[in-house]
This record gives sequence, C-alpha cells and structure tokens, in this order.
Amino acid sequence: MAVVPEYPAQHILVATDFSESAEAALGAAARYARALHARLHLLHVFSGEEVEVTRLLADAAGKAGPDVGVTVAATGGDPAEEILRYASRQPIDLIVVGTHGRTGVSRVLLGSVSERVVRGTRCPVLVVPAPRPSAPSSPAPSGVALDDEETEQPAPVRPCLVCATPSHDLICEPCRARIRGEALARKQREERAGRP
Amino acid sequence: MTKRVLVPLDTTEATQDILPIAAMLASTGAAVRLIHVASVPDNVVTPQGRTVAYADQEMARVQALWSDSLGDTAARLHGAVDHAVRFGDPIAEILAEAEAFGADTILVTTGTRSSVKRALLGSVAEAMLRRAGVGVLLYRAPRDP
Repeated sequence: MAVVPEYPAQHILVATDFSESAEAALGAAARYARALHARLHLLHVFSGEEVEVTRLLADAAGKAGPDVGVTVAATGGDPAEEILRYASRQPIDLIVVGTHGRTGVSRVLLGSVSERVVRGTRCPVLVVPAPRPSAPSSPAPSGVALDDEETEQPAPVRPCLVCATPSHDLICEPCRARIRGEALARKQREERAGRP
Repeated sequence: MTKRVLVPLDTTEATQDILPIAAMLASTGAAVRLIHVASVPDNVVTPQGRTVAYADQEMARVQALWSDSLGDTAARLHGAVDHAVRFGDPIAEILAEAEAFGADTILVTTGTRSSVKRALLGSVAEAMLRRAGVGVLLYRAPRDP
C-alpha cells in the first residue's frame, strides 16, 4: 500500500499588522516552522507612513524563537493583494492568517484581508482563531434581530443534566450520543413490532 | 504546535488531495483523526412494502465499509492516525467529533462543489470558523477548476 507523501511545507508566510489576532497567527506559524524545519516569511503591509515598522518587525521576528529562520519583508499597498503577490513570487507553501478576532453579531467570519487571501490562493491557508477574550463580550444592542447562528457564544461550563460531568452543553456530548442511540433503537423496535 | 487534527473525508476525490497535508501534520507529531459522516440510513423497503433490511443493519454495513476504507487510509499515513464514522448532519457531527476528540485544528477542503461565491469556503469550513478556539486549515483542491 502506497504511503501518502507528505506535503512539503518549506516556506511559511505569515502577514502581520501587529494586532492581537496577527500575534496568534505568528505564534502558530512559528510553531509550524519549527516542527517542519521550514523558513518563516514575516510580511507587513503598511498603509501610509509607519515609522516603527523596522523595530516592530524585528520584535515580531524575535518572537518566532531562536531556532526558526525568518525572512522579514515590508511593503506598502493593499494588504490582501500584497500578501498574494508575495506568496506567488516566493516559494510559499503555507499561508497563516488570523481571523481578526471578530465575534458576536458580526456576519463577517474572517477579516476582509484573510477572506481575500483564502479566495485568492491555491496555497493551503491556516486560519488561526484569535485568543478568546478574557471578559465575555458585551450583549448585543437591543432592537437588533438576532440570528441564533450568528450570535453563538461559548456557553459556560456547567454539570451535564444526565451524568453531571462538566460540559459546555446542558447535556454533554456522550450523553446526547447515548440518548440518540436509544431513540433510534426504540424507533426501530416500534417499526419492527408494527411491520406487516 | 497543532496537537490534534480532525480530517473529515467524504466520497469526493478532492478530499483525497488533502491527505498529503494530513501526512505533513502527522509528521510534526500531531494526533490525526480521519472522520466520515454518513447520512442516517432508512429501512430498505421493496416496492411491495416488504422490509428487506433495517436501518440498524444498513448502518452497520455502512459503518464497516467506511471503517475499512478509513483504516486503509490511516495505514498509509505515518504517525498517530485513527478514524471514526458518525451518522447524521455532517456539520453537527464534525463539530461534535471535534469536541469529543479535543481537536485544535480541522483540515477542510474548500470549493469542491459550486462556484457560488459564498460556497467557496464550503459550509463545513464556515461552520468551523464560527467556533472560537479551533483553527481551520483550508485547502483548495488542485483539481477544482
């Protein structure tokens, strides 16, 4: 049986705007680079004047750790376009982006930059979730129609109603699975009993 | 480092293209779980109304089929790779498995079905991104036009 060849990830691109979300992406990219012995490309796309870019990039490169080879680059322009341009000019195998940490009622899942990068490349793209906010986010403004799917918040941990194991749900997943199985078995028994 | 990776696989060939990426992740020491979500089968009934196979028998058959297939695939990947078969709604079951497995990353193939703009990410990928705390590795299959 043929062994599946490993996808060769030798050059990993992570773009940073020095935000918290970008920090999470940088952390993940650095861990991948270390584990895969890959080179990390750290790109900053600035808009307008930014005087501290060099220092900020050096700081960010330092966070990648001593055993990761880092290439830094900075360019001006549209972030998504420049990220895609960089990825196509360099032998990039993996792009790492943050989500811009959007939560709550936002309909935007990814930041617009991340979304355009995902749509614009054939490279695998790792979307790294923003670190969870330490305080629960403020409740949605009243009068706004809330769509359940859009406002999903991490539920507090409480004991499962059936087995009392701490769980994010009222009934924990193993119990739910068991209940589903029992319901299915009951349905099948009833169907069998009622068969002509 | 990514420690636990969930890899949903379905019948489309495009999902085979993500196996090299799964192999890459496994090579970094991550635990990889392959998962297939099948639809819950109905009883198999003849036109005359006679039931020839019950849903649970059909379920066992599908389960065995996919377990074999995923087991073969797992054997072709080096590292800590196991597999699971679930029945029901793909998104709900993948999310449930991600939680049960403690996945920190889900490997998702995108854009295999439709050119509709919204669908590019794929409904599974979108549902994954809604969940805080789980990373999503998106891969557009090369054979996708």
